[in-house]
Amino acid sequence: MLKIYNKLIILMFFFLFISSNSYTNVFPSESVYHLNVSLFDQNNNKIYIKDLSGKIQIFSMIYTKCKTTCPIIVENMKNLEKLIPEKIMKNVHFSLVTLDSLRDNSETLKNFMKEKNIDSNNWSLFFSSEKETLELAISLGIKYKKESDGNYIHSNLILLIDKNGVIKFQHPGLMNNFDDILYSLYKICE
Amino acid sequence: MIKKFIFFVLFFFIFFSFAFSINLFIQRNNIIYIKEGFYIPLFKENEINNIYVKNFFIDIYSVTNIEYRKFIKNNIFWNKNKIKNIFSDFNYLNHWNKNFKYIQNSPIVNVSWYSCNEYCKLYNKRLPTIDEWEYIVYRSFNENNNYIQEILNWYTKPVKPILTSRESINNNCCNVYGMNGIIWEWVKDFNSIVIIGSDSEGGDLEQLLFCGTASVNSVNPSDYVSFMRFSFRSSLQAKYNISSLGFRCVKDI
Repeated sequence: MLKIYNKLIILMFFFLFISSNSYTNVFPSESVYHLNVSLFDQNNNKIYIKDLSGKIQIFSMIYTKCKTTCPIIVENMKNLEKLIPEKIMKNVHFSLVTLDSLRDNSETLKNFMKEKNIDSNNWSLFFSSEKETLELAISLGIKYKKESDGNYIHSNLILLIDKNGVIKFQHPGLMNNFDDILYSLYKICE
Repeated sequence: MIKKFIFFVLFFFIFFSFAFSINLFIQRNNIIYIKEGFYIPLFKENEINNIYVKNFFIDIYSVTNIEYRKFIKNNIFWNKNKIKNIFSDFNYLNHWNKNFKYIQNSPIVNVSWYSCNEYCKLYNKRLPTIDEWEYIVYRSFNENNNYIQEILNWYTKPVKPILTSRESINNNCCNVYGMNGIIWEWVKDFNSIVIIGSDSEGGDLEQLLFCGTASVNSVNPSDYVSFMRFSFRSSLQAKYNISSLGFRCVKDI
């Protein structure tokens, strides 16, 4: 009896190994999920960038001490969320990664979520190390520069990333006409 | 008296072995020490002109084809056939053909930002920042006023199909060879150039794309070569492979 169990367990591991292997090969060649970047969310849970796969991501990089454009970007993303029909919304997730790896942590991100009334079911906020933040930003085509007062100059972009990590659309973060990004979103979901 | 003598000998022994090991370390890694200092960048920010650059080590020569081939042999992931599209475009290592012998000692080109990053990581190094790279050029210019003119002369010529060997190029202020004269070089934070505001940059859409850019202005508009470098860098994407773009690494202290 025991032996059969043992065999079963070994078989299970074998299949797990195979499935996990094929899983990593699923992403297309241009997918950002090939990056080896780790992120920490607002609850301090560590994930890797490829763990964002499976859902369509509406993605942007901001920082919480930003007073000029980041609030507008977040507001625009919230407005965009309201425009997405419920049927599609099931497959969509909103992610924000901070550019300010020195000053932002899980606490500031949590406060930011409260302050902006962000729904934690559909949203995640992340922070990462300085090195990995740079790698992620460069991969997503986001430019940023740290100024001497600790603030950042940065691209205002909202990205639409499909389930496999391919960037499908770049939306100028301050524009409040969402026709084009919604059109791309519907096209992915077809 | 004897005690003092022994102490003296010991001291010398330790001192020389220390100096020798440092020398060996530097020789083996082909790197050179760059002393900290200030430099004036092309673009100033809020009245702050001087930027402080910390002490660091930099490669004396840029990485060559043969060195890069060694790296690939140990890291199959970065092989031309294996590399993922996110990490490079179709030009990756395009110049490697049968005549590898002729180019083995010339600087590697057609490499992407990711592959350079990975190469440096392997040797416990990293790519230089814009500030570190420009700091060396700035110091060279301060020592030799013809330096910018020499760079300009080089910029006017098209890239040669077969690049010269890296040793053949004159050094600059800090005994770093070939920073200008053969190839352009990748920097770690090339995405940190955010230049907007002029009419030629194309109006409203660009201003919608960036935040806080009004504070960035040029210090010295006549520094044409720096403009060239900055505009070149700002046009790059991390996966680009360009036939005149190579790299060297730096090491933190």
